Amino acid sequence: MASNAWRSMVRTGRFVRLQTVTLIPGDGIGPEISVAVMKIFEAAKVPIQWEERNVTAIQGPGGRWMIPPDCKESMDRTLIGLKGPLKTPIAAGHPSMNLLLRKTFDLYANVRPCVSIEGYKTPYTDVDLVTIRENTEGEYSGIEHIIVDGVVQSIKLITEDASRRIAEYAFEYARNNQRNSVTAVHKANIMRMSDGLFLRKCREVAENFKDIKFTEMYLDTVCLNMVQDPTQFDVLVMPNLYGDILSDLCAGLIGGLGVTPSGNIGANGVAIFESVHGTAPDIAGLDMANPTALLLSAVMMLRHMGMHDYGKKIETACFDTIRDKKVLTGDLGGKSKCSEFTEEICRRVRDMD
Amino acid sequence: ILATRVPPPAKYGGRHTVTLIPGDGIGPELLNHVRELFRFSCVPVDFEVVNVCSATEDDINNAITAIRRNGVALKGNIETLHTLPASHKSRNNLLRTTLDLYANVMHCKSLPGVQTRHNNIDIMIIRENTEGEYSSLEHESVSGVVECLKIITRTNSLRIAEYAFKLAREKGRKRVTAVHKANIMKLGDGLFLQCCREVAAGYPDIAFDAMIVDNTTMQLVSKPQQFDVMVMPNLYGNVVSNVCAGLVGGPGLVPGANYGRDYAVFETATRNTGKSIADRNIANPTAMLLASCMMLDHLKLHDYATMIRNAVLTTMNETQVSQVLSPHCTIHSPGVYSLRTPEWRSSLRHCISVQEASL
Repeated sequence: MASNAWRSMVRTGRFVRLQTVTLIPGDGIGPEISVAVMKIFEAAKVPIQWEERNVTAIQGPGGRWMIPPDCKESMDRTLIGLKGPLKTPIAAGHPSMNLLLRKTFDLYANVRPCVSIEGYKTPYTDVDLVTIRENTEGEYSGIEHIIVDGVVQSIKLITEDASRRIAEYAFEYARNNQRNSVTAVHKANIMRMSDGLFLRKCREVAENFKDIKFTEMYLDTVCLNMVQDPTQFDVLVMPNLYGDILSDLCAGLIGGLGVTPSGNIGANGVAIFESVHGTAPDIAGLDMANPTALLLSAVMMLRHMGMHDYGKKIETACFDTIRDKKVLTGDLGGKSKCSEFTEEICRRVRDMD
Repeated sequence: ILATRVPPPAKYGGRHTVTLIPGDGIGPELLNHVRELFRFSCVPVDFEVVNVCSATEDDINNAITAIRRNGVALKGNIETLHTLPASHKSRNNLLRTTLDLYANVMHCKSLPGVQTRHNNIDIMIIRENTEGEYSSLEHESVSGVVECLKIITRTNSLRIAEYAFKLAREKGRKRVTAVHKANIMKLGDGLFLQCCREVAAGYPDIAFDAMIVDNTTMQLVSKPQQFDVMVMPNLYGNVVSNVCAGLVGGPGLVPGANYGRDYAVFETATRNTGKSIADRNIANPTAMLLASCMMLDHLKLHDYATMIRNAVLTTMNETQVSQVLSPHCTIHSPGVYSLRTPEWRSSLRHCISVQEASL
């Protein structure tokens, strides 16, 4: 694959630096949708070479669970990753792989743009919003105690640094992607100190980004308005739990996890883009999977890397295919195979040149 | 509904006394509609009005004492200002925890005459109302690090699950779904789920399943018809009840009730202050009126409750009403006929008169 890209570069006579991306195919339908994405990228002649890695938890020295060292080394070098769905085995003795990746690379921001897909009809039209969720602390700190028998306390942790970091990322994202407003979602009327701190940090950061409108809204009001009129929202920034709930709510508005892209941004410039649906073991290997989620995440990745033209090309081809409704996979309401769907997108991409 | 020892009602000379807390924003005007309608319909209920608006604890303590005295209250939402220090707790929360109003019940039903994206929704939401994330226990252990405690207890989880299943059985419902996040909060939500399962074992006629909260919201916006009765801890209840209220037509249409062992407080389901639409005569009185009907049912004044409820629902559905359009002032509920509140009110009184005449 790398040699083809090199040959096409030589033919055009332009020297385009080939960027390496770590690819983690994942489990279940992961491998087949990764292959689909690689095919489409090849058809679009994107100057990317893939480095495939596996993430199965291994026990390092001292009994601590960690990701395989070659995967870590690859990510540290390339700084960009594309990940398929990972299986979380129950009672395997180790934490979920997603959690391990998050901790290893300090992936503090989870970004999910939700845009209505023309051609995949849902009761909600014209959705165009982005949820930015703090991914490291909050309600998911994992700190729980049994005080006495029958009384459990879970600790929600909010820190100044993490709140400032996510707020800064949200405003930077809004500025870089020409978004008009950022809304902080909170419950500071009940959780006065914790969400109050989060809100204060957002307000402070907003001072440095006067070109972007900043609003605050209660979580319940956001939920209420979201299901009545999602077009009023632009960029939403929030702590961990609210982000989890709201990002899935917004995914539901546009059609579910099978068509929603997602990206995780870490400190030190690392970014891992992923599809958030499950591994679908019942259809794995049957060429029935829908690669849209992983493809759109890959498009997000291209935009992050600055390759906006390629990203736009592939995204347009994908949306056109879905809008046409002639070649659709089973979950989108059609009867075609994954390979046929992929081939249709490749064809459109090639025709665009 | 679920009381082992029912205190005597505040009833004298055939008339009940009910505490009325106007609150802030649209609360006062909505409750005025209720009072006016009760007066017009000759409902034997007198209201004891208690205003809660100062920054001290006195007002809310007076309100709590009044509710203890009367047993029943109808309230608007009291605003919580962030500018005040963190020691100033939410007044609404204080009221709920002090009176131990442990069950918040909300019935989301698609109303005829209201245009929404989804139809045939009929979900009962039972939300634990006193603990969970709303425990108001926070501290700053180190500068810049705040910890907020979420408390889940076996007693309260069993109590709310028991309430949910009893209510489901009473209303002839088939399935109860527990909403949780036990894959992440293994001990806390795990305990809640375990309690629900224990109670479910005692109700073999009612099906029980569990769903993770993020999947729940996703399912609610795509296929809300699959849900029957839902039971959940406090914060998820906040999210899910607001999503469901939005699905059936907005905050102006759904009533809510808070039940405890000894007391009951009725309000709108989504507890909005509605500051932006206050005093403009556009607030939708439906939610508060239906809440007052729930209150009348609680006081065993079923005839009056049915009469007012029918009048409200008929007014919403009536085709003559839709002719009276006013493009400048709309009732604040998308999907309901564009209509000024005064015209809506007069139509409502007309419906009540018709019903009274036929009795």
